[in-house]
Amino acid sequence: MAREKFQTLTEPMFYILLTLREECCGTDIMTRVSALTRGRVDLGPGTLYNLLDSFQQAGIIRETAVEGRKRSYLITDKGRETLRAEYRRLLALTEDYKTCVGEEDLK
Amino acid sequence: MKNVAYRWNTFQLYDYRGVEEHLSAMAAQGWRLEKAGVTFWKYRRAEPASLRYAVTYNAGASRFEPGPTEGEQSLEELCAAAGWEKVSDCSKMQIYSTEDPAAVPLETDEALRLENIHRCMRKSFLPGNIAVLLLMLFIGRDFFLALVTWDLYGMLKNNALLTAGVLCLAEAALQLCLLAGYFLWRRRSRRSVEEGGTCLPVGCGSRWASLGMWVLLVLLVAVFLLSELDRGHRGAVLYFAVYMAFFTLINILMRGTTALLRKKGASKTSNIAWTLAVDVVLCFTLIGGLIWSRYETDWFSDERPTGETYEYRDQNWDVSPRQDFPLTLAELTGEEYGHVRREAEDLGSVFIPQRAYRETALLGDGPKVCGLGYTLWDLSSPALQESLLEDLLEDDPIKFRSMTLFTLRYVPEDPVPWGAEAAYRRYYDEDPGDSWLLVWPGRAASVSPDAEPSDAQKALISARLAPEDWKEETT
Repeated sequence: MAREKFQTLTEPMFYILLTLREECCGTDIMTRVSALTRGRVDLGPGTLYNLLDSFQQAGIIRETAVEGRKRSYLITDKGRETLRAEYRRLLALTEDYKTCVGEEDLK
Repeated sequence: MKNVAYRWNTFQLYDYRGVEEHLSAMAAQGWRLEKAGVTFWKYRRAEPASLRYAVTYNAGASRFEPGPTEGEQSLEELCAAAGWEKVSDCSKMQIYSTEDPAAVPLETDEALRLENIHRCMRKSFLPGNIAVLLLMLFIGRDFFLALVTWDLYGMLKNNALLTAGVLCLAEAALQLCLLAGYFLWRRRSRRSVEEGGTCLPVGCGSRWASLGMWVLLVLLVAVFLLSELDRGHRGAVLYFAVYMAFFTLINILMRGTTALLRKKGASKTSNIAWTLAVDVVLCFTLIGGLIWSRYETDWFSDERPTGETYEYRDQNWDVSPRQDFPLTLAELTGEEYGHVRREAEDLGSVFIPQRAYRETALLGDGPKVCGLGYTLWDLSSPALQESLLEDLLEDDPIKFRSMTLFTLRYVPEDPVPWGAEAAYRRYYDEDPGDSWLLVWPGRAASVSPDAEPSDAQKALISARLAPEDWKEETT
């Protein structure tokens, strides 16, 4: 069920998992995603909290440390596979675009 | 100038947008939310400010948890990092505010917000709504059945049944509306989110429906109580008042228990168990005690003697028997009785007034007694009369442990001696009894003398119990 749920990832999901290739806490995730996307993707704290909870329940990430209210997380092997699958899907989309439209159109 | 204000909470759990807009408007008027309770929200006066409020949901939050859960603390930490300060929480709804107009919204993924709201709704509110709906259908089943089969008499025969039935019907309709409203909102919001939009505003329908329900409740209860008082049923009014007081007290004590245990740091399981135990004990002692006292004491009884009585041959008799009986035993039999007891009671409802009379007299010096009982129904329309007759004339099997002992039924007989439009005699299977049902236009009467009346007595009964219009027509 969980695999089905995260078969395709939304932008916030994708960037959270990308960020969690290194252990970090929730507030760091918000900062890093914003920096990585140059402010294009903003993660609301409510959205982040619920996604971290769902990822944890699906075994895609795991909690690594708790310091007071601060909790740190890291991606799991299953999470890496989910991320890779999304990357392959995005590549396939890109290839399809190139096949149909060609790169010229982007210029 | 008061610094604290309370407002009745009419927001649905999923109406995050309504809550956010309302709280921002209140802050602009100089009122800040201090505590969001289930029933009332508390505000404190402050300088008017341009504050942004935002609502997020935590499916793991519970009012039985001792203080904020780890999840709530993590959420608070994340929100604080984004510039949001927690204001209060109401069940699974978490309310935050910020003065920073550029702060990142709490929710940045509408699909996830919608899914999370549904998780919270499914966990607590939907089961609650469905439970209330089923409970209303169960409590009001007699009224609903009468309504479905259009049994007018069944619906209108009794004030309490009518009031409870209408309230159950209204509450069931409200719960159905709330459920339908939520699922409609969810479906439309899902479509909007799939098209790249946001969850949709909830609208004021549910708030008005809830408010309307309370207005209806207050009005109906007031009409019921006034009607009962008007008919001299002070016992019923007192019983209702005590019942409502106990119900409110149980609610307050239950919530107090939960809050106290939460303050003392009791675990969620322990809090639920103790709250439940307190609820059961209170219900058993207060409501159970009240029900017991209704049947075992005369605290809520209306059948108190209206006049002075005396005891003779182990029975109470009236010193001055009431004189407002349309027909007395002495008039019917032509005998004089030395010891008489008369009781009358208003039954029925405002739509179908029903008055029962009962007279008992000592035969000679006793110990034998004789009696006369009759009940009058005044029926304002032929439809009501038809419905009443349908109900009364239906065969009534008397059972003992699923075995039918005998069947009570009315058999038509010649109405002419009775001076009535129709007359029926009650039978116990094939054996005739001494009970008759007489019907005139606009009135019905069930008469139970001690023996079959003579034609002269039948004519007297008719002359005393028939409606005036009928008597004028026939003379």
